[in-house]
Amino acid sequence: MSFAFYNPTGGFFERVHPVSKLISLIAAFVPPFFGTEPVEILPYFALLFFAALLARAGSNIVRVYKLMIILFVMSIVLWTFFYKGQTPVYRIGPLVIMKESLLYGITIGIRLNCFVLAAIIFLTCTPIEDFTYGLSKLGIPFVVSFALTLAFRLTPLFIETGQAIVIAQRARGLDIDSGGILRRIRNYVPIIVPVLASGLRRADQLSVALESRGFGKSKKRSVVSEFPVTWRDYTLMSVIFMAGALMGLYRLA
Amino acid sequence: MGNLLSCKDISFAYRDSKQLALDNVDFSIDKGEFVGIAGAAGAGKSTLVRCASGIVPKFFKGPFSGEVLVKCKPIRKKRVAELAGTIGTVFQDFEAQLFSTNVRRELAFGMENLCIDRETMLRQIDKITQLVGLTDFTNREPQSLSGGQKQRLALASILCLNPDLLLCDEPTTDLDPIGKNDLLDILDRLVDSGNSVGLVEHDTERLIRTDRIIIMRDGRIVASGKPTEILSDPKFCIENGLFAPQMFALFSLLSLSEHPLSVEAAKEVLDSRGFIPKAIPEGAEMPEPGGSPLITAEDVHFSYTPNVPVLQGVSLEIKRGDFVCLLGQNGSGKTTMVKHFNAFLKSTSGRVFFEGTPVDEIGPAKMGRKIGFVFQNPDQMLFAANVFQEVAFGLRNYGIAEKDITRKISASLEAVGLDGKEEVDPFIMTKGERQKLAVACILACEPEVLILDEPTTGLDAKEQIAMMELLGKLNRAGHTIIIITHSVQVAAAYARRVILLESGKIIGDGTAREIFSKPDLLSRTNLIAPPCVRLGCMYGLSVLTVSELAESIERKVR
Repeated sequence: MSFAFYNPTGGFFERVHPVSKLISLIAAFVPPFFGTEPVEILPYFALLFFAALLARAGSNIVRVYKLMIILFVMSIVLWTFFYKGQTPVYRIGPLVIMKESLLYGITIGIRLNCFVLAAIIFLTCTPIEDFTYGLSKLGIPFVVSFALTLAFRLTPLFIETGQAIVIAQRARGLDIDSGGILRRIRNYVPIIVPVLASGLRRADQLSVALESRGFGKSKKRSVVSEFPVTWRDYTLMSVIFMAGALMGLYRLA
Repeated sequence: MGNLLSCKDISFAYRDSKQLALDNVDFSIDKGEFVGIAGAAGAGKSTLVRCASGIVPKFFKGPFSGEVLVKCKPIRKKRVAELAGTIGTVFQDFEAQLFSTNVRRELAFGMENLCIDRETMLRQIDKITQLVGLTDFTNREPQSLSGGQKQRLALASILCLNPDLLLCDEPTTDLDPIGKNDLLDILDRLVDSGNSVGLVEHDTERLIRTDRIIIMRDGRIVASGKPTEILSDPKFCIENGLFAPQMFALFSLLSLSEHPLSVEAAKEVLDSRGFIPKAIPEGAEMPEPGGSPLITAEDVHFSYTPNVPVLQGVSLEIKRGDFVCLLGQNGSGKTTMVKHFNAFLKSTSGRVFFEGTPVDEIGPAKMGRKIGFVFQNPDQMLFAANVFQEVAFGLRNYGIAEKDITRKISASLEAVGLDGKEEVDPFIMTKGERQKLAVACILACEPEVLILDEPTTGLDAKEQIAMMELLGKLNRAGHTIIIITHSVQVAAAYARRVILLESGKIIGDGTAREIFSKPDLLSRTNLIAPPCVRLGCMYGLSVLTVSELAESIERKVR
């Protein structure tokens, strides 16, 4: 079972130049800020959702849908409390819920989910190596960009190790969900210690393995993959630019 | 002409360790030479490889003296990365050496670092994938490969850099026999084409193919020479954590001076000396347990991902007091099968019963007390500050009274031979000790059944014997033992019953003697019977160990 997000399909998004992908990702974060009401931001969310389906990111969305729901609900709850409105819509005991607060919470919830969707599309269509390459082409030294993307390489391995350790400790009678809060926190010690120990060990082994393959020998580096700039790059960036421009103009109008 | 690699009088101690890991070692490898490095656990083999490749003292700090020369030039001031392309190192843990999203990128990584142009890289990838047999896999994700393929990929990723010298630190430990063979065949081909190889290895059946062997003990080289000279004395081998090659051990028992390198060669010599078979000595058979069925599996099917079946209709019955070995190559479904026994996994169809009750009704928490599970990697369960606390963990989870805990811990530590080490930190113990501690942790809870996943992997010969004798003792004391292994030697020498798995199906089930007398059955699982079993077959004898074979043949009196 693989825990990585990258899903090689060879489709439209995957064949975009890594630098274009990174720029597009950053650009895709901008339009949501133009929407201040659900109606204004929903079309953009729909566009991203459609793009995610095109990019075959469906299975990755299924993996994070709980996070997306939590973000959405938390945002509504928080802004209902902290954003001041004028029009009362509901009254629960002493608590009055204002229409403006509720709408703002929903907007921010959708905005956050737009970020999640954009990131998922990027991770689904970008091998880690291309991510690293893109960052280094944007001026970040290779060693630094490699270290930055290492988290994405190692997280799936950490999850796998964690699962194996949970099984091993359950075999020794550990019931993670038993007891009160303090007890539950303590229950995690037998899992966290081996996970950290194996993480440190792996980091050690990896650093040796990397240097044995010449990592960091020189600042210059060649690349085996070829990244031609094609119509896909222009199309992707144009779509994002147009979406942003439309939303910006609507906002101004 | 000078040596390709030359270590001159090197000594090294790991920081925080009082003992010298290497003590005045002189070692060299010539161009085109295949050198085996062997010895017991902790003898200094890995440290020697790390010194030779510059990893010590660059990555592992500590007092270092002496000089390492590669092509007559000292490497002291060079970074490990600068030596890539001159010295290549392959490590035991192949998982930790692979980090790319596909095979081609994995292979290219090192060449990219050396700024090799794209055309050359592609040509080199073509050449090396052919050499290691991964031509059809260049677009595959490394994580989706089998263990053997992963290690071949790790090797290939180093070979792409065209190193003059290849150092391999126990690269075959986690591989099944077929994976092991494939990898060692590649090393043979490399040497044939003029490369130099240094190989740390426990398996002497393989080491006999090298040009020269060095044996290490306590950080020193205690023997160096031709394999036939060094490995011919079984006693010397065991003292140094090695099993002598079985044919050498047999000839030593028969007081013959030859050192045959193959089963066929051994048979030829024995024939010429007039040896003929007689009956297998009485009392060699382990008695069949008369107990009631403890674990019953009925037509169990399972898959982790849809359409990729891992178990395909496994049915079996294990009796109380039996000693069972599940044998099969990596990925045959052995571990998946036993995870059903204590309800860690729920079958897609079919059921598993413990004493007649479905295990999923009992649940994994309660099953843990009935069936103790020792996982392959002890580090996945050890976490406590000392041995006592580590063993107490399971007992406390099961609500055992504190007054009984101390007694149970003492008993279990004594059983595994770790008594007196209650205060020791598990993290500073050797792999063999940690493995024993893992057994003690499970044993303390007094389960009826003990399941051990690859209990001998990574242990030297002495530790392997100690571990298997411990299991034999527990079995005689009434525990039902189930071991999972791909080591045919272990299965042949210790198990009463052998269950052979292949692609999630049982293809053989019987006493060890029955299973090992059917070579075609074994070959279906890509396993090869131990040399003594194969030689026995040539005489029509179904023997399991070298000593049994020695007692089962005799010299015809003319």
